[in-house]
Amino acid sequence: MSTDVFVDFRDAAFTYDGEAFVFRHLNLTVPQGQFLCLLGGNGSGKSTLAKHINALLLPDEGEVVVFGCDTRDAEQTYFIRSNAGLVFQNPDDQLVASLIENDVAFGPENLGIPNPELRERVTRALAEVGLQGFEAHETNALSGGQKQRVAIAGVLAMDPAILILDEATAMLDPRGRAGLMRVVRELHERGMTVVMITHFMEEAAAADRVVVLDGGEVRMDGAPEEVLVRADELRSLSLEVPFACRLSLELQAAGVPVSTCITDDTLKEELCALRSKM
Amino acid sequence: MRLAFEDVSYSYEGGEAKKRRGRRKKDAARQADWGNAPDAVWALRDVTFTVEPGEFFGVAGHTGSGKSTLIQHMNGLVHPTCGRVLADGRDLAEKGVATEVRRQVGLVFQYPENQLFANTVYDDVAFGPRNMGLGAEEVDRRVREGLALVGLSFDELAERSPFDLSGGQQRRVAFAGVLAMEPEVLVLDEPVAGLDPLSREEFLGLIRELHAGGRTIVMVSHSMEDLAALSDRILVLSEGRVFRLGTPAEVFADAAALKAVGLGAPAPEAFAASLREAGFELGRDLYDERTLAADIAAQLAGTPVAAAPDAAVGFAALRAADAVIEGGGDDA
Amino acid sequence: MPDRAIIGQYWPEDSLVHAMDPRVKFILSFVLMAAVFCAATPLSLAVAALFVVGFYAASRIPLLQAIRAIGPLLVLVVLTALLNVLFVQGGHVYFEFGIICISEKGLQSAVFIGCRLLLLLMGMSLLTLTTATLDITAAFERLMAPLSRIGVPAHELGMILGIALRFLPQFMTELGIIYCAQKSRGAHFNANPFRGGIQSLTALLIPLFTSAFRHAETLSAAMEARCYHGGVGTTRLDPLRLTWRDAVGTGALVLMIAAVVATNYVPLS
Repeated sequence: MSTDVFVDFRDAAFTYDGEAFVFRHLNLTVPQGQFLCLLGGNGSGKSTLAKHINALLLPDEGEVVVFGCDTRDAEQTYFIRSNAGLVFQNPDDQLVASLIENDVAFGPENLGIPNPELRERVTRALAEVGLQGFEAHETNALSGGQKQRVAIAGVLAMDPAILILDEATAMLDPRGRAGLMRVVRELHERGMTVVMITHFMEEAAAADRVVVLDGGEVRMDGAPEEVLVRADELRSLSLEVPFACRLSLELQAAGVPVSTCITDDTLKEELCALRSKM
Repeated sequence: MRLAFEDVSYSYEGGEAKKRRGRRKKDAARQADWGNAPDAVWALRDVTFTVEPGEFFGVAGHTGSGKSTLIQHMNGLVHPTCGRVLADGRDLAEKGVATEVRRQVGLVFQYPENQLFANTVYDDVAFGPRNMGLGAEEVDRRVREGLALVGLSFDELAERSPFDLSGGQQRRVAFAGVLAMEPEVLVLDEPVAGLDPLSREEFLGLIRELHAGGRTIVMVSHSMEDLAALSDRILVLSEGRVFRLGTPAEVFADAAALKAVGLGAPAPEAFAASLREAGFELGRDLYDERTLAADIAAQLAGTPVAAAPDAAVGFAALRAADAVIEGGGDDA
Repeated sequence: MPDRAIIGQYWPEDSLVHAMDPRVKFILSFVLMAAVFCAATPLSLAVAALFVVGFYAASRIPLLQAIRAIGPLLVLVVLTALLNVLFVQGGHVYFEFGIICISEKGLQSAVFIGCRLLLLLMGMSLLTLTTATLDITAAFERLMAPLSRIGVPAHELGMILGIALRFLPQFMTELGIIYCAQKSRGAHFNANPFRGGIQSLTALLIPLFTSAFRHAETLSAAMEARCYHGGVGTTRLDPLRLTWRDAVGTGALVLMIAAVVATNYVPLS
C-alpha cells in the first residue's frame, strides 16, 4: 500500500477568468506518506494548486485524481474533502464557532458522524495538536498559533488521509510557527501525508520532498538536500536561501572544504569534524 | 525629535488610568504603585528609554509582550497609567500636545493595507495631509512626494483604486499615506509581516532608504535578523518590562536569555553560539554570514581570530545612562 | 477583560440554570419577562424581584456582576425613571421650579417603572449569561425547525446567527485598530460631521466592510473545505436533551407567575 498515489495532477490546467492560466500542463504526483513542501513566490499558483487537491477548485483541462477519484465527480466531492483536509493562511478566517469543541466538531457534524464517536474524535483531534482540555475555551481568546492548531484539529476530526497547509504559518510569530511545525511533524511521523505550502526555508528543510513552482510550472523537484542548495536558482525565483546554505557557500569561498548544507546541524557536524582533524 | 519614556506603566483598566493621571498631576508622584491595583492588567511596567533623533530603534518581544501598546504611546493614542512620555520635553498627556505630535510621529500599523479606504490612491494618500488642514497645492506636492518615496509611479497609480493593486503595492500606498504627513519619526509595526521573501527585501531596502533620508525609525519586528541588520539599538520587551536595551551586539550577546523570553538570536549569531559550545573560539561581538565564515575559516586554518570589538560608539554614553535608570527602576 | 461580564457574554459556571436545555431557557426567558410585566403592584413586583434574585442565586452568578453586565443599558433605566418623575404628577409636591415639578406620584412611578425595567433587563441577560452563544443559536434553530417545512431556512438562519456572534468580538478588535490607525493620520472623529467628519467615518467603515468581505470569502471556502452542505444529514456534538432540571426550571417559573398574579390582588394597606 505504501506506493499508493494519493494525489495525481494529470496535465491539469486552470484559469480564473478564462484567459490567463494559473497553471497549464501541470503534472505532479504525491504518494502516500510523503511530506511534500511546495515553494514559490507570490502568484506562482501554489494556493490554487492546494485548492484543487480538495476539490474546492476543479481543473479546466486535464484531470486531478485524488485517492483514485476524479475531483470533477460530484458524488465523490465530500469523500475527497473529508480525506484531504485543508488549513488556510489566516487564523481569523477559518474558525466557524465560538467554542473550540464546536469548531472542531464542525467537520464531522457535516459528515453526519453520530455520538459518541463524534465526541471521541473531537477529544482525539485536540490531543493530537496539544490542546487537550481546551474543549470549552473561546476561540477568540486564543493566540494566532493556537487558532491555527484548532484549525488543524478541525481538519483532523474528519479523519483525513492528507493534510494540506496553505501558508498556515505565514501570519504566526516565531513561537507559534515552531509549535505548529512540531505538530505537523508529529502527525507525519504517525503516517500522515502532508502537503505544505510555505516560504520559510527551515520548514522546507524538514520535508521529504521540495517542489518549487513558478508561473504555474514545476521548476525544481527533489529532496531538500538537492533543491535547497541551488542558491542562485532559488534567488532567481524570488525565494530565500536557507542560512546554512548561505554560510556553506561563504565558507567554500573562504577555502573551507564543507559541502553545501541545508540545516545548521549538519553544517555544525562537518565543521566540528574538520576541527578535530586539525 | 527626541521621544522619551519615563517610568511608563500602562494598565488596561481604562477608568483607573484616568483617575491616576489626575492624581499624578497633583502630587507629581510618578512611581508605579503595584500595591494599589493588584488586579490591574499591566501591559507595560516601568518602561524607561529614549529614542534619539536620527536613530534606528528596534523593538523586539514575542506576542503579548506589550510591543503594540508601547508604540501606541509614541503618538499619544494611549496615555500611560503612570509615568510620562515626552516628545522634545513636552508631555504627550497634556492637552493638545498629542494632536500636534501626531503630525511629527507617523505610525504605520501592522498590515496597513487593511486601512485603505478611498476611491483613488491619490485620495487615500491625501487623507493625512488634508486632515492637517493643508492647502490643495501643498497636499498635491505631498502626495507626489509620498508616492515617490515608496517607489510608486504617480502618473500610473494616482487615479486608480487602491483595492485593485497587488498586496505589496497596497502596503506601499499605506506607507505613502503616512509619509505624506512628513513625520520626523516613523514608527513601523511589523512592516514586512506576511510578505514573500522578494517583497520583504524590497521593503527593508525602502525602510533603510527612509532612515538614510534623515528620519528617525522605530521598527517592531519578530525577525531578529532584520533588527540586527538595521538597528542602532534594540529594546527587548518581555511581559511589559524592558528586558534588554542596547546595541545589537549587546542584546544578542546572551542568546540563552533571549530564548528564555521566547525570542531567538539572528541565525549567524545563534550558529556562532552553538559553535562556541563545540569549542570554537569566535570572538566577534555580532556576526553576519561573511564575518562568521571568515572567522571559521581562520580558526580552521590555525590563525588566531582577530577580536573586533568595534561596535558603534555613538550611543555609548546614552546606553550607560539607560543602564543606570534600568538598574534603579527594576525593584518591583 | 475576562473577569468582567458584558451584556450578551457567557459567564461560565457549573450550575442548575447553566445545565438547563437552551430551548427551555429561551422560552422561559420570555415567560420571565411576561411575569415581570404582570406585576402591577409594588408587592407583586417585590415578589417578582425575589424570584429573579433566586434565579441568579441558582445560576451562581454574583448579583453585582449581573447588574454590571447590563452596564450601558442602565442608562435606559435611569432615563425612564427620570421621565416618570417629570411627567407623572399627583399627590404631595416636593419641589417645583418652572415646568419641573417633582411629586409623590411621580417618584413612586419612577421607582416602580425603574425597578420593573431593571428586572426585565436582568431576566433577559440571565439567558445570555448562562447560555453559551452557540447553544442559543442551536436553540433558536431548533425552535425554528418546524417553520422550515413552510420554507423558512431555519438551519441557515442559525448558522448566520452563530457566525455573526463568532465574528462580533473580532470586528470590534479590528475596528479599534482601524480607529487608532486613522487617528494617527490626523482623522478627527469628534469633529463637525459636515466638514471632514463624514470622510473620517468612511475611513473607519470602508476598511471594516472590506475586511468583512475578505473574511467572508475565506470563511466560506474554509466551510466548504470542511464539507459544509447545509443542515441535511448533519449531526450534533451536543444533542439537546430535556432533563429534570428543565422540569424544575419550568416549575419555578409557573410558581413565579402564580405568585406575582396572586399578590397583584393583595390590597395595599
